[in-house]
Amino acid sequence: MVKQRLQALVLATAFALASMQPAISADISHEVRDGRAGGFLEAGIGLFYNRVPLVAFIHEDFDESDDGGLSLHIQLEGRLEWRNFFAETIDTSFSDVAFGYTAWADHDNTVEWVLSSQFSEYSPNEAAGFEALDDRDGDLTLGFRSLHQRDNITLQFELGHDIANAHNGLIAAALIGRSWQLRNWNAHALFGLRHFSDDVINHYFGVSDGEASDTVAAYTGGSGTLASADIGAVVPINEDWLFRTNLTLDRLPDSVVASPLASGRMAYSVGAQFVYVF
Amino acid sequence: MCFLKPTLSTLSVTLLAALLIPADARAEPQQLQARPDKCVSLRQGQVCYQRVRLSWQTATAGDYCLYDASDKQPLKCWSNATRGNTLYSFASQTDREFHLTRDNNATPLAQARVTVSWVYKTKSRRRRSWRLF
Repeated sequence: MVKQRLQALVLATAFALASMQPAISADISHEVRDGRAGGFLEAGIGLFYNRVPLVAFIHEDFDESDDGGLSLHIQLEGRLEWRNFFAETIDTSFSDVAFGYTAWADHDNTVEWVLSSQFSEYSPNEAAGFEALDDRDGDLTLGFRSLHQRDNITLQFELGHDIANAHNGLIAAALIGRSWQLRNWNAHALFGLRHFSDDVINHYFGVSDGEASDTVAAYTGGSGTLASADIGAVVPINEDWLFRTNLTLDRLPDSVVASPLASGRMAYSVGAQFVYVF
Repeated sequence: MCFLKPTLSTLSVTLLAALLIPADARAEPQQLQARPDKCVSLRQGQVCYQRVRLSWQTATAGDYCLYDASDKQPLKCWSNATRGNTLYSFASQTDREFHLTRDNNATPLAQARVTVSWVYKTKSRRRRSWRLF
């Protein structure tokens, strides 16, 4: 619900903001992937094959949760800026949507205060055998994000704390990305570490005594770090259309893998899409 | 004989043109084409790469050379030809012009342009500024 509400708010903001300002930055995944800072709006359609070894993420049957799934992917991605305020939704970013305020900026560095949704609502009870589990509320984290650009290398640091009383946990991240031009193709590589405090892990992947059953054991997890890598490439088709492809790998934290809600360690997504740039 | 009037008018214009336009120009309706004539890069300022077919034709056989306007060396020359084409590896951040000359004459007989455009316009980052404190 939180995710849907925020997405609706982003769209409303998009129409409400009459002028798009020259920009400073955006999430690292957009900054590195497309090498561009600032306001933008894109719509894309493509096919992706995803595997997320978590209960009810892709398949409702736990036995199939190890398997991947092919999906038609329709995206609306953009960033709007007004004075120093911004609203953004970046498809390849960890956070679904973000609102923020740019506190400091120079040519190569920015520091932003960011309000974002890191996790949307999770309903493991949609899987057979897990009906006794409660829904996990989506969060809303408030914190800061800094971006640093050196030639073709971009660094991003994030720190956020849940203020929606979903898990009241802390999330910290460090990411590094690089891009290359290969004729008219622009390739990128991103690597990141995202640390979750035990409150976060337990909220989404813990199983309380009240939820435990004969099929699902109670579980309390500790803090954990997610390692992610993303490689991809984009090529212009003409002045309005792009072709974009990427592969994302995620190595789940030990404390998530040990949860009864996980059935594996590695998650991945591979696909390609056509993107229209407004 | 009203129906003759347009025909006579056309004939008059043709004769007048024949008298006014120099003989050399009349003899050589030169044409130089670049296909494709546009190169698209992802971002403004990037070098754009494109294989471009440059083709030309004239009415008069002669010695012709094709030039990149920014280079004194010809891309390719032809002897006693009325037409020709060549594949050119375009790599530029900006528009480029090509021209066809005859007998090492500096005056171009025909010109063609390959334009460079992009998907993302480069936006300047803001200057150093504190906004919070």
